[in-house]
Amino acid sequence: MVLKSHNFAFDFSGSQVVVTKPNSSELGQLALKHFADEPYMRNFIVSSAEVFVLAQKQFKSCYPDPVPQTTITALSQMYRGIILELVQNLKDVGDLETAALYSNLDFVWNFCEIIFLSSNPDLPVLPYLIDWVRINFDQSSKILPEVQQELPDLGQQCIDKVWKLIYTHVFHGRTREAAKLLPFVNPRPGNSHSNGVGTSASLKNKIEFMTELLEKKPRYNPRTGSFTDFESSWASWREECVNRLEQRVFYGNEQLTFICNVLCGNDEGFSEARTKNLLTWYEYLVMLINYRFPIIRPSALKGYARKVVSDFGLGDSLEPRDIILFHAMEYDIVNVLKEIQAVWNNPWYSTHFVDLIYAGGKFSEVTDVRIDYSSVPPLRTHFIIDYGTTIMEHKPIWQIGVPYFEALEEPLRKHLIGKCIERINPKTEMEAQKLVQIAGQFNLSSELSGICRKVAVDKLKCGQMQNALLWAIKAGDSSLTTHIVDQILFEGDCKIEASLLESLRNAIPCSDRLVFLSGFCDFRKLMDKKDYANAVGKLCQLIKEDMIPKRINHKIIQHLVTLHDKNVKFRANETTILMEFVHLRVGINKIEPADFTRLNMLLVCNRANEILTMFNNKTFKQ
Amino acid sequence: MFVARGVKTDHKDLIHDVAFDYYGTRMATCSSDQTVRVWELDAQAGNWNCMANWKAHSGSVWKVTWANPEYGQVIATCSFDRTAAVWEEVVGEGSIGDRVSATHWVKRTTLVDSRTSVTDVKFAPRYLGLVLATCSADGFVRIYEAPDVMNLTQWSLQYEIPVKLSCSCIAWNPTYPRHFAPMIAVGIDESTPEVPKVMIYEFNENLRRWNRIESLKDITDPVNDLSFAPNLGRSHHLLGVATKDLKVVSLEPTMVEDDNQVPSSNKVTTRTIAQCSDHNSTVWRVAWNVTGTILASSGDDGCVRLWKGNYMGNWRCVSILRGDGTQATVEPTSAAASATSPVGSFGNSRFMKLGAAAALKQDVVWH
Repeated sequence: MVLKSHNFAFDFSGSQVVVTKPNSSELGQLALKHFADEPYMRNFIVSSAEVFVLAQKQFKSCYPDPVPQTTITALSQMYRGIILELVQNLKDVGDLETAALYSNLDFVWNFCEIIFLSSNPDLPVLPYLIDWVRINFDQSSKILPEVQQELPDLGQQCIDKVWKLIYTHVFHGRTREAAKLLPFVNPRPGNSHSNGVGTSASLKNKIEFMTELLEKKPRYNPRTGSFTDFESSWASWREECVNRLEQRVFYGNEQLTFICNVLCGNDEGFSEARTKNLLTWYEYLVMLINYRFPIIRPSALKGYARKVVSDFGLGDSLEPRDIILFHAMEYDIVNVLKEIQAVWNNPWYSTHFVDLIYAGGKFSEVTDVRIDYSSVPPLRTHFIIDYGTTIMEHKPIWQIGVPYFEALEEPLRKHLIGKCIERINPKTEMEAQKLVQIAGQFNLSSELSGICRKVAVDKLKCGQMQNALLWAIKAGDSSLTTHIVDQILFEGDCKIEASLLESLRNAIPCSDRLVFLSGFCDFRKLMDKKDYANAVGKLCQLIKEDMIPKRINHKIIQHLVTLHDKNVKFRANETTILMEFVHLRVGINKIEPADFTRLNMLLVCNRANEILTMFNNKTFKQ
Repeated sequence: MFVARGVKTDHKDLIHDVAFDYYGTRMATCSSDQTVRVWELDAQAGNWNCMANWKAHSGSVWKVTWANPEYGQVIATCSFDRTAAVWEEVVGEGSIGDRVSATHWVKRTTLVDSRTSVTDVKFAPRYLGLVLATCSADGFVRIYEAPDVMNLTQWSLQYEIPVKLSCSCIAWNPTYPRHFAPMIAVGIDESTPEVPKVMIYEFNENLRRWNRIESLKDITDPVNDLSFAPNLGRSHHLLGVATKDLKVVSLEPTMVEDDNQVPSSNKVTTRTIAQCSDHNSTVWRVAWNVTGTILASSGDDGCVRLWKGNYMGNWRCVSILRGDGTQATVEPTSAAASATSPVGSFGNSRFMKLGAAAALKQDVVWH
């Protein structure tokens, strides 16, 4: 055998690793940080689990049909709500970096929700994109309060801000919101801020025209609207915008002209938007679709997105976030999740998102897009196992992992839960009960008896005999039960609590000793109640069933001895049974002489009585 | 990401093995100083306190392992002194150094059948009862059983398996009962070239003996450690092998049902599904987590590496923990020999929000 000069041994358990160090007798201990211990994560994990459970319920109730798209979208939004709550919590405590990470995750989740969950591959994707950019890039909540403060007379800086907000709304396609803000940029007559670009009256006219255009932009609701109607009304609206532009309605006001150019979807407007550095490529993409290609389907996005990204000069060095979006546009769920794992090494996202895709089933009518969903079930299983293990390995929150494993098929579900609960050392009775309940729920009979056995052994060590006995019975372990009962019988005073006694009676006896204990306690109770006749009857029953352990014989004798002056009349056969017991089972030499005398007296008297009675009966019969 | 600290063990010589109990709240160490120490975790302070310390053998103690907690607090050790021993913690005063402790460890049995150093000792999966296996440099694997689990002093040698080559390590397959016959993998550490260094044995219920059903021909370098992954109802088994590099081998039983209806395969198809040389040196130990989602390995490069398989069965290193506890970095590398798609290389890239100027720190946390 090769003698090793050093041997780099280690072991790991959950989030701990301990290693030996070469040439040293010191150990290295590495306590790996679990993500559940980060700020606000506990709540995040619990809330996510609640939504996950909800999703499983929906899946079950709709089965074999897929869960309706609206429900899936709602569930997805619940997950996003949880992420955003986390973001807000982190921002509140000033951890802006981590907040940004989760904020990005929400951004990406939102986009993936559009592609994989809520939009229909055969219908325009625009409305979802409008919503997406609104959620992520709308500065209203920041700017409007500032505006409110400065009312009624807005300073030039404020007016500039309002214009920027108006532009943003226009880029995003939220023209009605833009229209609502126009009055703020229309200075009142006599106002020192009215610019000299035309009288305020003419500006007012222009604003009216613009407002009209903005308010008339057609909107499309994928659930209720007809897309052909939308297509034609958009075409006529667009024509109207072009007319207005050609009529130079907004001539003289550069802001409104710019907006009209954008509405017309012409290059001048778009490149001005870019040069003014007013938007990110995401917003630019949405603007492009709003005003040039409003009816494109989700599958066409990638082509336009590539062009936009290239125009922005980002083509060669895409951020991970953008790479993820592109994979999503390709409907490549596997790569989406791989990239997400690469930047956030946590199976949370993958687990919850893929589960929603799974629950929603395949789209029923898929024309242009070949969505390969065959990878979804194994992906889902893989991530649930990963995430579930992570949660169950973390002692404070192990219970939250159970519903995740429960969402898998048998026999996987059973194996996983069984393996994990074996590793949980119940610290309290309540935790032990919880483990037992879970083991029972999933028919984990050997784990159940293992847990009960372990608790029984622990209680035994603490001297809690009766509690240990209850657990040993639950475990169905006859040798342990016998062992504990023996200890109670021989080492204790055999006093058993009434409640335990009740449980003993109701429990299926897994050990003869247990039956004896139960019977013996009954006997003692009867003795205490001075119901000697029945007590003796009980004792004889125990003797007949041959259950009395040898070591307890002397206690039985003691009890019998106390009867000698109580004038107890034995029933038929009882004397015989007792005599056999005393002489054959116990043996006279094992009994104290004084005790034996009394015992003998008791038995002999009873025997005499019996004979007399028999004799009398015979006499009378004759 | 993680907290590192040293634990002064006061062992007087090299520590050869360290093992957590089932719950991760106790650990045992064994050393060339012939002693075993048992430690308990102080959860609040996060440090380990030595609860017991005793001379266990008359030679270096190579391995220590815990039995399932339902048998109580029981450990087994094996040593250069040609014996293996089973120890149990009993209530009753013991002493550790100057302190008095409420419990102490007693030897329940010594297993003396080996003619040479006993190199490994492992308890069998619980469904087999209280059973343990040892392997020795004398080329035998021995399987012992304690038929009365309440009495740990009575162990009998049930089977002696002649491997005929010096054995360094054994692993039980922790399969779910009744689906597969009991299975053991044995690692060989002789340096004879071209001889397979991992043997797979399976127990035949009918003949009541252990048969060699396979030897892994891909593995011809001395083997230091082996471990089966927990089986989650897969049709195949996964075995991690620590040898000159890290290998993951899949064993797929070819089902041959015998009359007993215990699928007793007399054949397994084996395939090396991953070969990871990231340690760039000898790999010493391997261990799986509770559900088999993570494989950990330690190597002569002083690192512990954590590996995860994706749903396609490709293995990738997800964490590197340096043995001196100073640093953990994640270096995604393509680990699998059979990987078909390259792993994304964005481990160090930043996930920036909306063109914000501030660079974000990489938030890669372990789980």
